[in-house]
Amino acid sequence: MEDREIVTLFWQRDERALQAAADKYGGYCRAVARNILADEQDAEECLNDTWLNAWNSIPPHRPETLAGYLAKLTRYAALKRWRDERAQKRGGGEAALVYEELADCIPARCGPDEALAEKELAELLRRFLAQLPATQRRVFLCRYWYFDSIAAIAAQFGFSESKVKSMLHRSRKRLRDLLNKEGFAI
Amino acid sequence: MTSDQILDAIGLADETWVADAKANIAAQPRKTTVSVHRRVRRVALLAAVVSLFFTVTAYALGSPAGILSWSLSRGLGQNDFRFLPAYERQVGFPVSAVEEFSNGYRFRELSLVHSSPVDAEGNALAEYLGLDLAYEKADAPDVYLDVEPAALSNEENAPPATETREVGGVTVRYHYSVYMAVPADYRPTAEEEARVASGELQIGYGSDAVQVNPCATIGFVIGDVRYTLLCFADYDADYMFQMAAELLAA
Repeated sequence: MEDREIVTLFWQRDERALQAAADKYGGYCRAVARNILADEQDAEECLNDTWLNAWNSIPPHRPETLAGYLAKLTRYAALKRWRDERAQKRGGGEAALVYEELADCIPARCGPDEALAEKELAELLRRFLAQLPATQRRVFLCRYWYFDSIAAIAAQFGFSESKVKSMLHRSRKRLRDLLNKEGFAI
Repeated sequence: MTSDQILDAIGLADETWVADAKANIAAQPRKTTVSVHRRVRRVALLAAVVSLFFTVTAYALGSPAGILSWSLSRGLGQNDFRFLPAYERQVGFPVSAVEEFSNGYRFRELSLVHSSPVDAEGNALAEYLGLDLAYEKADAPDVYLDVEPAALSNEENAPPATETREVGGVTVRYHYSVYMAVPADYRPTAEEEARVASGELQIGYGSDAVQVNPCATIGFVIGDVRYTLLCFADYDADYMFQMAAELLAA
């Protein structure tokens, strides 16, 4: 079923929308959850949250890219669960490594109390991603949006793992430079 | 600012980009099937190739589970090339590098890179130090030189070298590939299909327009140290081998 037809079912409040979305993107969303959460059961519960959130948000949303929209809901739910588990010193998956890598992007001058407003930071990240060459952007998002392992990214793109590391390394440097340059221009 | 904030901001990325990142894997049944078959065939071919890009040594680290992932962190950049000897002392091996190549690329920055391979249980297997040098040239993409312990990389999935030469007694491998981002309804030409099958072209579906990103790399090992020179540019073998020769002569 085409995405357009699935979204129409959501708008018509036809519950077949949920089954259609699960059939088409269940595996995809499960992979997103599984990357962040080490536990299979947690990942399944996260998927259930995804379908519920999709039902509650479409309408009013009419996503043009259903895969990206559903994956975003899954990522949000999985991260929330991971953060709750981290507070209780549980959890695993790639999330811990991703957090550590991203800490490298925080400019040295930026202390814990100095933060861009959420909206400004999102806009800055959008500009950062827009200026990346397409392949670098895909690799960056695979790591920091999807939480894919380095090995998985290397296999997907047919790269060596050291090449993936180099690309991410450079992307993080560009992000840090951009944050450093514009992080205090509020 | 925290990693949480950056992660949340990344989460708001344009959905088209998010879907494009997985364009070969997400719900496009026909193309996904073809891509998987090509990937499986290519991995099988690579496994049979005798001369891999680099010797696989990572499993010598001793973990039966192998290396699951990496943790990387990077120090502050150093803009003065004269500090290279100080960095060599930190990493524990000499580095063969130049401040300027004959083709006009000039040193811009170097930094330490900390790498920790992690096994399936999340245990850090070791701690390695390497160096990352960036070179720049007017109206040209940057060139990056990675210098790291040869044991770091798991190169099982590395594509076969496009060309190999002996330079000053050292085996140097050149690899060139092209990555095309194309719209979802793009139909590859017969020539493009053949290039995908040979491993010199990779196609990702889901972008707004056709974008081509060439990538040229050169690699060699001196003792226990691996050098990788990388550039997202359409540089041919002679151009890259010349840079390798200058590094080896440094």
